[in-house]
Amino acid sequence: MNLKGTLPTLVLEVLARQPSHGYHIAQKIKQSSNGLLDFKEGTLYPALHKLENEGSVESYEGTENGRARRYYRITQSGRKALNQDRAEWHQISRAVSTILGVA
Amino acid sequence: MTNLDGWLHQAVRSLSKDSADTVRREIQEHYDAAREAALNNGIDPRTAEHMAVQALGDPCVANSQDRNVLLTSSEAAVLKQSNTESRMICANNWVKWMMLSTPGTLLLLSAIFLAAHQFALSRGMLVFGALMAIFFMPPFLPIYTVSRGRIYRAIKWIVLIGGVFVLFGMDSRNGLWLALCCFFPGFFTEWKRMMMRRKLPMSKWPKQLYL
Repeated sequence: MNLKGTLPTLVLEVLARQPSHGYHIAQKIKQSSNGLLDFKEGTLYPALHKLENEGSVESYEGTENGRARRYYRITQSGRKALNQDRAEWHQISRAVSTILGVA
Repeated sequence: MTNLDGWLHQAVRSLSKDSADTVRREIQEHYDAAREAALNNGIDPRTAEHMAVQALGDPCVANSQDRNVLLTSSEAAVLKQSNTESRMICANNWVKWMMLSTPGTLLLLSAIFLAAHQFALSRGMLVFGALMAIFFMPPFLPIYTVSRGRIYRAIKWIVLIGGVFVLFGMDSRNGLWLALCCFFPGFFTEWKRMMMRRKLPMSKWPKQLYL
């Protein structure tokens, strides 16, 4: 399924639960959607860098199984952006459902 | 060259050295984790490597998205070059004093020519004095905050466009084209700075992005 435009929101949602590294974020999105939301993992990092530039996430060095990893965590402004995205998404999904006669 | 090397080679094209290092490191970590997970699921090493690279997708798409959020090599070159110019002005005392005194001298000459009814000369001196002041004095001005930087940039563009109108009068449209052609490197630098201001968070702006 096409994720265009929604990837940053999904990333923020994963990071709101716990700080993670890129691979974990990608797997979490795929698992949470039962594999329905599939995306090319190489595009995850530009999205993370954009969120970092906007101040929605911050990165830090961590280790996993003795291996250095770059972890990301959500910031206060990231939580605000996520709440805003959630509200917008509910509005859009309600509107589309109404038009399609699903609601 | 492994599959991953080929992928990375395309994914870091045109990125600055630091940006390319960041991308390489993150993708390598991602690849290692994906390969390890596949191996733990009993997949043979060659297929695991192939799957890990396949999951990354098209390197050209990743590269195009990275170039929108990370510094490119040409932007890094602009930063480096501007740093060198700035250092050259600030490091040499005589250059520094010349840069500080020339705009004032030109503006004074403009006033003298105006008093002598030499309007064309007065206009020329006024424009060159204002341009020199706007371009060479920033290292000595306290403009390195977000709001002051914005004010400085607004004044800079007003002086630039206003200067063309003062110099060329009714023929300003051709004058703007002439200025654009003659000072193309300057406009190119401005364009690159604008792109960098959009990409980098304000907390990471080097001094020259305030200009």
